[in-house]
Amino acid sequence: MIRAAALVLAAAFVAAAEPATLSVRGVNGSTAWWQEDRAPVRWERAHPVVTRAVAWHRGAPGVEWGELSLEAGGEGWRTRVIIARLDPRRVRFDVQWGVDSAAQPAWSLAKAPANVRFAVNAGQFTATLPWGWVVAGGQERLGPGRGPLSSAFIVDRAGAVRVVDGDTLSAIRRETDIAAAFQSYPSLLTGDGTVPVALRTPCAINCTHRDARLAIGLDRNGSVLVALTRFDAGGEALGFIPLGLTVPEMAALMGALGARQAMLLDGGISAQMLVRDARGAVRTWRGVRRVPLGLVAVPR
Amino acid sequence: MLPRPIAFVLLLALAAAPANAQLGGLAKKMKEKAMQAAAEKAGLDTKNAPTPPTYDDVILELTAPRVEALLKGLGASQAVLTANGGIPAILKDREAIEAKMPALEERANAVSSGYYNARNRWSSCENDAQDALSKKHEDEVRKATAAMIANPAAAAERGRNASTYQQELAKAVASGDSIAMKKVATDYYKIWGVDLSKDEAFIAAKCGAVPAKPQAMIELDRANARKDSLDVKARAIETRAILEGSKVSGLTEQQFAMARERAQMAVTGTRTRFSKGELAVLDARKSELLAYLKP
Repeated sequence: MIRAAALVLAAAFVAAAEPATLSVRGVNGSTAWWQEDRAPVRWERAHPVVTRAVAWHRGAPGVEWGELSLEAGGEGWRTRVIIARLDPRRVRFDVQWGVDSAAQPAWSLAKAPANVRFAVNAGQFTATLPWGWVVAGGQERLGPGRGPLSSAFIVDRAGAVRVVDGDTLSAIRRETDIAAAFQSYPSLLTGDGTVPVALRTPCAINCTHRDARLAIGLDRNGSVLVALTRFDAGGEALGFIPLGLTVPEMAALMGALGARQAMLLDGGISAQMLVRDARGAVRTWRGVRRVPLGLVAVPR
Repeated sequence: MLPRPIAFVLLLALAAAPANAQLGGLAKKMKEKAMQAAAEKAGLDTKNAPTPPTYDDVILELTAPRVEALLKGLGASQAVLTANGGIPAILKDREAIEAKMPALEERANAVSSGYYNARNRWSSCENDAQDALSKKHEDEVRKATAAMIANPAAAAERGRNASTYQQELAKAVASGDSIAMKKVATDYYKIWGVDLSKDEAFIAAKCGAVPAKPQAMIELDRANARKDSLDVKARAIETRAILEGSKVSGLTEQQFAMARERAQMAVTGTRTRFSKGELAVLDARKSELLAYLKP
């Protein structure tokens, strides 16, 4: 028992002195591909070590999903990432509003439409209402929120998707062809793969907290990328444990997967995702609470 | 119930996780073995695998009195959210306005380009008129300055008056009184031989009245402003609900939010990182908690 305690103390000491790293885990061991103190400030392309390590599965038309095993620091030492890649030319996105008559969040995967090919909880929330701008079913439900490091996911009436900085919304909001939109934070990548200054070392926000994470972004082919982390030390049965990556590590992950713009969604116990596979069966990674907003993709 | 040694191994394996990358193969194997054993012996069922968290200023131990306080806080918070229709009523009002927006936008769009063209023409004319007035006023100042040089006594008097007006102007600016500012500025410029009082009439004669915004555009502006004010109202209720929950529970906002989050986890199945005592207390109040924390 004493030896074990010494091991823990030694590990904590060594870990505190080392910069955070991310590695992919494969059959031949781990390969490091990102280090906090040498992190790129801009992701110009996907990282080959990461893209090669993703095991992709064919989903319903317009949907692919993959899995990636990562090794991060601390409690993120075993992290599995579920990635969905969605083609907006083959699926149409919409936002589903979910606040009930008792002013409680009411959306969960169960509320997704029967023909859904993909669903995920959207945005962030404090108690009841989604934070920031929401357009659902072509109707604006809430106006834009103000704050640094926010981004918005926007779908126009033709089904095209874009991710924009939150400080541009007062003009974009007046556009008349917006079918769906939501705002979230923090932004992970902006412009063409740039990591926001606040997320670089030295970090201006809490960049050491580890949690189950969920991020959404757009890659250079115009596909929507969604990444959900799961605790991976004990199989899927323990996957819901809210441990995972830090915010800068999520920015690196989205950049390494090829995203140009990306933002976090509500992770932790809210994170929930559904993909329909090629045979029409539904795969779900469930959260443990209802949320006020969902993003769904249905056939076009 | 998971035997205590297994729970300890699971905790140790989690706590020792940072060692993995640095301490090499042996430590890694030890941890993996421990984790695997714990998971297997738990039958991958964590429902009965309590592992106490590290309590601090934000994560408080959920004892029976604290869960009681949390429930009171959740009740108070819910009451604020729904009082007088609360957030749902506001959202309904907003939805009603939103439903009218396409028609309002269509009506406003039909007249907006005509209005903006007229407004641009007027602004251009006003700009030219202001240029002409500036030239006129420059001449007036030049003449007044020449007269002052010729009459030093009058110049001293003007200097004193100017100082008084400057103080009055500063006062009007500080109080944000635009009418007073205009009056003081007009009086001040008179000292320098400049008469501003006829400028507006000059511009009106040259350019006509400022084009009025069409009613359809005003109605659209009003609808947008009303939507924004409803957003502010809804968010204010949400904030008040959190504050009320915190106040009634006797917990800080952060402690209240964390207790709520942890209670949500416990009653909806994520039962790691709780002590046995916490789980027992939370289970005893589960149905009451679920009334506020639906899975």
